[in-house]
Amino acid sequence: MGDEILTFEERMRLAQAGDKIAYESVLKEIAPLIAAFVRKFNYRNLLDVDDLVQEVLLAIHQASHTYQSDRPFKSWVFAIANYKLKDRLRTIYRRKKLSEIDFADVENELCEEVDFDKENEPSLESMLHVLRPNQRQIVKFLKIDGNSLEEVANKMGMSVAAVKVAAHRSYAILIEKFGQK
Amino acid sequence: MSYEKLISSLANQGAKAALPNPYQVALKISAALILYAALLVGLFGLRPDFSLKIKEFSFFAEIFISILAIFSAATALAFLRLPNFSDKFLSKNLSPAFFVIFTFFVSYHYFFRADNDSSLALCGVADYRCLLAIIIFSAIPALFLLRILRQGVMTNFYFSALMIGISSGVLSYLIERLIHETESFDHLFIWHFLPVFIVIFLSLILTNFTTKKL
Repeated sequence: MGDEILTFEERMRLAQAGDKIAYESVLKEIAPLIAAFVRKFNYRNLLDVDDLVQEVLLAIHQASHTYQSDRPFKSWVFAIANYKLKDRLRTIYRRKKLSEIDFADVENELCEEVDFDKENEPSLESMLHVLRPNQRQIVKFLKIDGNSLEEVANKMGMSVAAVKVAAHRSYAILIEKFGQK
Repeated sequence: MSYEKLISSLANQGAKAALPNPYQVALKISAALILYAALLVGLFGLRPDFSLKIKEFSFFAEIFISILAIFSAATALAFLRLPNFSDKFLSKNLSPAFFVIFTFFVSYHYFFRADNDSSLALCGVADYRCLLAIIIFSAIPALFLLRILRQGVMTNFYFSALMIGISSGVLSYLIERLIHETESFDHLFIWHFLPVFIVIFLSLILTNFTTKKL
């Protein structure tokens, strides 16, 4: 092959003419590119990247006679990789081979704790005791019961604007006492 | 890296020799289809009024459009054997475009210029031999095209099957048009043109069962 750096197209032309070293160098160089391509589309870790890369390499080998050396090599490789990727995803979705997500694995990636439940409520209730009864009721209606401003206003017999002001003041007091937590 | 072993084993087997240039293959397919059509027309005889009919614009245009549809489908098929076919926009979409023009052309004659009663075509003038002839005439080209397709790899299954169907179906329509003398547009539409869609459907089934996907 000499010391000069040959392009993929030139090496593939040599490979089709029987040069096994050129063929090996081409396969070695495209393997990481295919792996990167597969990883890019590996949403929700549905694919076994190594397995699919091997499958694509095999497909490239089987289809090696279909490469036309006057055409771009990478577009040929990625056409095959794209076909195999879609084929694999189609099989996964058809057989519903969707992996289960274990909450323990993703807990750290979530913004809030996933194990929040009623047991935590007493501490929240105790935090609310720093507020006046009226403010406590508004925060409870809004943040614990999940009511809208209008609903709280109706329940409390206040205007929406008054509820909003009272809620803001309550949050300010809570932040001052307990910080952002 | 985990694929080192696989790569060295594939490299030991070596790459396969390249397929011929798709344009060469397209020419070869076109030549074979012309030869087949000439052979059948020679065997069954050209329609007696051919020299008069060819002077009619509508007949000439019909023959011309069908030839364009056949050859563009043959060219598309030569490219469909290669995986990176999608960048050949013109080669890919020319054949369906010609087939649509061909369909409009024949349908126009049937719906707007037909001077016969359609029910007559279905009952009295009905000729199942035309239907059978079109299906039988298209069998050999379809198998030949399938063999050409199988030499490459299949990444565009439905499109490949469609090209085989258009190419062989329209070719047998053309052959039947050249050997069978008919003036009835009803007969032409029902017993010559609609069987082309049966051929396309059969091509889909045939391609599905006989080709190995990549």
